[in-house]
Amino acid sequence: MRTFAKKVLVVVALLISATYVSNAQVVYWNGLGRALVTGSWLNGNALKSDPGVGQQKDTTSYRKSTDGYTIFDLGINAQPNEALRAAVILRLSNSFGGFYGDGSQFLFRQLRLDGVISKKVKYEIGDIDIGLSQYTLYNFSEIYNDYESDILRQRRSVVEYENFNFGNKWRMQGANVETNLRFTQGIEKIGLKFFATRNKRYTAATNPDRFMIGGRVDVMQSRNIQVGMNYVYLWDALRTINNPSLTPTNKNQVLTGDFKLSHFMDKIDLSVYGEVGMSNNAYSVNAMTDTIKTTDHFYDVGASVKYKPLLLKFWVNYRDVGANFFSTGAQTRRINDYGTPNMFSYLNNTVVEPGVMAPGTRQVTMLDYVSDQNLRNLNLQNSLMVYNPAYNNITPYGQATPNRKGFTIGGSIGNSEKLIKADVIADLLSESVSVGDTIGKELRKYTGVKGGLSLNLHKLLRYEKGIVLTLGGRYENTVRTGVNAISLKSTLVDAGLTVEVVKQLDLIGGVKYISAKGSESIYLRNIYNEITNPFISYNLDQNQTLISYGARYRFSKNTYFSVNGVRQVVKYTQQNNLNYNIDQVFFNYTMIF
Amino acid sequence: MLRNMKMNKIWVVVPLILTLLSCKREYTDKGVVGPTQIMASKDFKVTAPFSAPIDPVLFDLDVCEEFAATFNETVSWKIIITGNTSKGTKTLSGTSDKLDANTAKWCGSHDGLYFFEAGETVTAELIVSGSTTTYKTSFTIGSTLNYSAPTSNFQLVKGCDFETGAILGFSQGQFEIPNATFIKVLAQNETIAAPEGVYFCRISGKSIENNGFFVAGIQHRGKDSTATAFFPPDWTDPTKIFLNVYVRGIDNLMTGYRPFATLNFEVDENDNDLLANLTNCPYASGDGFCPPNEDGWVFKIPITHQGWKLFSCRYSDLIPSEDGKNGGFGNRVLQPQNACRVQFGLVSSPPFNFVQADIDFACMTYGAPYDPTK
Repeated sequence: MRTFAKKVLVVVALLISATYVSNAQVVYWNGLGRALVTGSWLNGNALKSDPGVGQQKDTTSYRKSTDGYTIFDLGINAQPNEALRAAVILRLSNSFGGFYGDGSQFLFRQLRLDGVISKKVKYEIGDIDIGLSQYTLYNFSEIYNDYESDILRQRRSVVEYENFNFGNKWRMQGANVETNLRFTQGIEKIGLKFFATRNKRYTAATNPDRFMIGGRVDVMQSRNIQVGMNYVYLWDALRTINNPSLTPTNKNQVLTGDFKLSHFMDKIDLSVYGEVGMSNNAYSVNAMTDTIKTTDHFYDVGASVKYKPLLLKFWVNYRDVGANFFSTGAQTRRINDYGTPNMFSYLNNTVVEPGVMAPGTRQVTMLDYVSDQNLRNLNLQNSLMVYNPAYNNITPYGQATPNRKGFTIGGSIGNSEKLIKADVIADLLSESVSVGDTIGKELRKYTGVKGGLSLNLHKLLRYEKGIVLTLGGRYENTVRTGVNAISLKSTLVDAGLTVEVVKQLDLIGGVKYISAKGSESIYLRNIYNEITNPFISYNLDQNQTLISYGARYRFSKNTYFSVNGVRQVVKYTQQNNLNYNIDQVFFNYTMIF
Repeated sequence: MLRNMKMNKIWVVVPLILTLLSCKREYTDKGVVGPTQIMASKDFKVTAPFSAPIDPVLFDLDVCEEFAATFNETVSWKIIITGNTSKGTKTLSGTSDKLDANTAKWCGSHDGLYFFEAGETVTAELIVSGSTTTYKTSFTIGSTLNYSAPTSNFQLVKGCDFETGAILGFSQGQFEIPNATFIKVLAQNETIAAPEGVYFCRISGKSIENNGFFVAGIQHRGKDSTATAFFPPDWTDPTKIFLNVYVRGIDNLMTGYRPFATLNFEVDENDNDLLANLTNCPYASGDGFCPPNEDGWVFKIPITHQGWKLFSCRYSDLIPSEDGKNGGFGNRVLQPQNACRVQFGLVSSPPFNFVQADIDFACMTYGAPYDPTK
């Protein structure tokens, strides 16, 4: 209590100081306030006995759960001049169950100094968001959700805010410097960007400090010709721990070059673009002097044509990403598919993947993807994380997924401001080298089609209030022939409707359906990123349906209150005794200022 | 001129792409990466049932469990062994058309954190690649591996499995410092399981020293006054000797918690052998070690983690003792053959804090850190 009071006094002192200073300097406020309440119920066959298959009644798993919190993030920004802005976000949070403030927490959520020096050099120090290309430093989405319904996207946004998933950048601690050099002839500008960050703090006797440096140089000769280079280097600082000789360490370097050649006409734009690069990855082996090194390369080239009057665009890409291409910053997943979900963590009668899940752990589902704040991964990993093939088997590690080659073809039309926005993308990929089939050395072939549309129906109907329909889908088919045949099909469908019934009051609804059937293998990797034996053979015939419906009142553009009903149905076609449902009521008040 | 510049840029980019395209990947010739995997066909059958014929199995007599089964085709398989009581786990895997002593033999090692326990029932589950059917069998562990018996590359620090349920006592070379108030040998319970066996040791308390740093510890002495070396005679290379211990950290460790507790795993070397001069060395005893004049080499383990964790340190990475009265003034040369004492000391920093550390299964290995999977 005394500590909490001290912290409040610090905040008050800061506020008073800021107010005093504001007479001569600029101080402004921003922030977010949010209150969430979730009531959940678990039911289904998985909790009941089934003598036919020898299933006993589950008497230990929780059937009900209530959760919630109130948070207030206050952003204080002091900008005495253009060269310096100090921005801090202070968080006051109170989880439900805390009693009269005793359960409250006060902490610094974010601290950053930034500014522009001499109107040329932009810098940031502290908690910063950094991204480069899709093969160097990129925080990719874990599943196709471009046309996710508004109601589920709103739910997901809470999780993403809590985990600093702002766009496709990674939240890091360090410094970033950028500048543009402009020229009057020859070259239009050269952009320079450098950063240095610490990704993991040392734990004495266990883990060394982990650092990352990198940057980008891009040369824009004109709007027709652009070339660039990206570089990232991540390493473990061995001498920051007690017994350096026993701790495996990693060094990962990725160097890429990219280009874009464009030709602009009145109605048509043509572009040829691409990125090529290589990675060098080395691990020092425990108590030995040898290292495990891998080097590999990739290239990704494409062309596009855009018909400007209709905002109609077609593109085709070809890429070949080597099996040993490893980029920590680009291939780290933001979700742990086999983590322990926060809600109804344990379920005695459930499908468990031996070796990746502890017995009795409930498998992560679509509802956990959009609502569980603790499944997210904030740290760059120095080996490929295990993933669930049902959710994304073609690009589980983003565009930079290793051991993929083939074409990607796509088309899009419109944008979100128009009547319609739609796109469709087809992936025709295969492995570069066989994984796991030492007999026939057959390659997996991946066929994927994804796309959707967002239709502003109110424009079509000439209705003054908003009606937005979203439809999206993704189909994946993985096939390998031969002795070790593999066949996995998965389908994901998103549908959503938002109707503004009266001014600022919306009725919102959405459905997400995913089904997966077939067999695949899950490969575990050790700390040296080597595929380990044993394999895990993954046989699945499952579908999940996530339905959400409710109402939302928008006080302003950034302030709303919504109440949702949610139902998640999980079905195993061949094992009906393991089916279960989760029903939820979810209240969300969010204010952004 | 502009056109020339555009062409120049293209001539730079194209060769770069072609150069990379021509790079050959090291695995191209092999055509495959990853371990062997042969999936079961639709006609797969287990023709002789999965079984564990040796029951109970006595690992301390060098008896191994030899799983048995026969298949009608060659497949990749794995056997997951789980201790019903200890929750110890072991996974065997292979590719064959049968399980026998050559392909599926288990000699008592474990993969996870917990060792298997004597007397417990274990369940073995056979999983075949590409098959949804699994096969189970159970058997009993009559006795576990005998860790008390040293081998050419393993030596338990005497009494440091704590399986007698108590500290051995001065007469057997293991005793508490400063006294037994701070040291408890505890039996595992529902909330804390011992990694090995059923007992572990807890060192806890607040320092009674003037400076408030050292809290308590356990000391182990080698042989008697002849000062026989603590290590086997061929353990001479400090770069090949490893100290290993399981340490349990703090429950509910708050973010940013300051590590008050450090466990010092120390090896003392008798450099000067002052047996004949005990009057100058009030702390000396039959092992010839005079603390103010000898070397103490320390492996510092800050207690900042949660749960049990195996810590290992190479002998050559040990740092000199900071305590001048205890191992701070030897010849400052690593001489494993001079080692005569091993001790665990719990230190509070900042001083005078209540600190705690649980330890189990401290051992020395030669050639590599302790690896329970082998």
